[in-house]
Amino acid sequence: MIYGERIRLRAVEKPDLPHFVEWLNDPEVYDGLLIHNPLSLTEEEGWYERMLMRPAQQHVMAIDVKQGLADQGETVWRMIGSLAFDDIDWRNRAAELGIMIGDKSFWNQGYGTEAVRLLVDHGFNTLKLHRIFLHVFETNPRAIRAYKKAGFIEEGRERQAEFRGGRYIDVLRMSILRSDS
Amino acid sequence: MIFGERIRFRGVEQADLETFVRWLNDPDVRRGIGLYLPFSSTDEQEWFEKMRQLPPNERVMAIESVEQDPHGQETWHLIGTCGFFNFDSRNASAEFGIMIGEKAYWDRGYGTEAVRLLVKHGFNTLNLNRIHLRVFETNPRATRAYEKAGFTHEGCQRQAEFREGKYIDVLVMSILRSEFLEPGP
Repeated sequence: MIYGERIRLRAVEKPDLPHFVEWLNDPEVYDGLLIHNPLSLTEEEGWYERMLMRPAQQHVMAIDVKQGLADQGETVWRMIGSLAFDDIDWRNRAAELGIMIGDKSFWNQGYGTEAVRLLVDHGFNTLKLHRIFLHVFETNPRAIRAYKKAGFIEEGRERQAEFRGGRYIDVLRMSILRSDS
Repeated sequence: MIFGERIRFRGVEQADLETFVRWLNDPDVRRGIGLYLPFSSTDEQEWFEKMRQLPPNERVMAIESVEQDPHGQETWHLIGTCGFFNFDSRNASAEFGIMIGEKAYWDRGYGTEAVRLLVKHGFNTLNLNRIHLRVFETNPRATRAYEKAGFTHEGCQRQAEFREGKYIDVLVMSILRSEFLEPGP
């Protein structure tokens, strides 16, 4: 597992899937994601099987928040979202980052920023990447702010690249280089 | 076939592959495209078989230029290829790639004319809203052709490609349907 201050990143387990399905069917959550159709648990289970076929470095990880200690002194964790590197290009040492904070009660408290920082650190210092980039809809200022705080720079604006809510919106592309961090 | 002023697009034939292999192994050509390894006739044959299985709108087309011989007869010469890929039907967008492999046709406006013709096909026949492309910062000839054909710079993928010992930027350019139909001043 990969530990941060308030969070940790761990492998996704099957019992996580119903939580993902709940989040991915929440309009406020999927407005920021590439999903636009209702998603069933069966589809999500299919996604999980395919995800496990990907190289280990590209497996999706669950974001857990530290909740305090249980009676027996064990740390209690609560899953609030997931994140991953997609399409690692080893020759160019570049990867795309994707993240979702699905539990809305944890929005606007810096958890997204902390999770992005932790994955970026993993990308540069463990996977030896050179460049990490991401796409974000212009309609998602919360995410854009988090990426900027984590050190990402806006490097492009893909004009009218996404059709949502009856109109075309721009998709921003942001990146961080090993030399930036 | 799709006809422009000096050029036309036609389907790729088996007999073209030999020429493609020659172009794809030319370092001057390869510097501007996604390939970086020697490319065999067998590789090219496999590419051709796979390409033919793609939906028709995504198949690569051959670019030919017309010449008049001394008797006034028109002959067509294969000078390159182009095509759309990464079609996104819901968002009505696509990416395209182009190669003018015959170097005698460089710096004579053929690339610009081919891009214009492909863009017209994309907006007027395929009903796209957005056409985009990626080009290496080390390829000013191509960048200029895209600018002349009406593309706008919309991004710079910093150090996204490793070539000849160093990381280079990859520029992103696009043209929207509204810009094609009502060109600016």
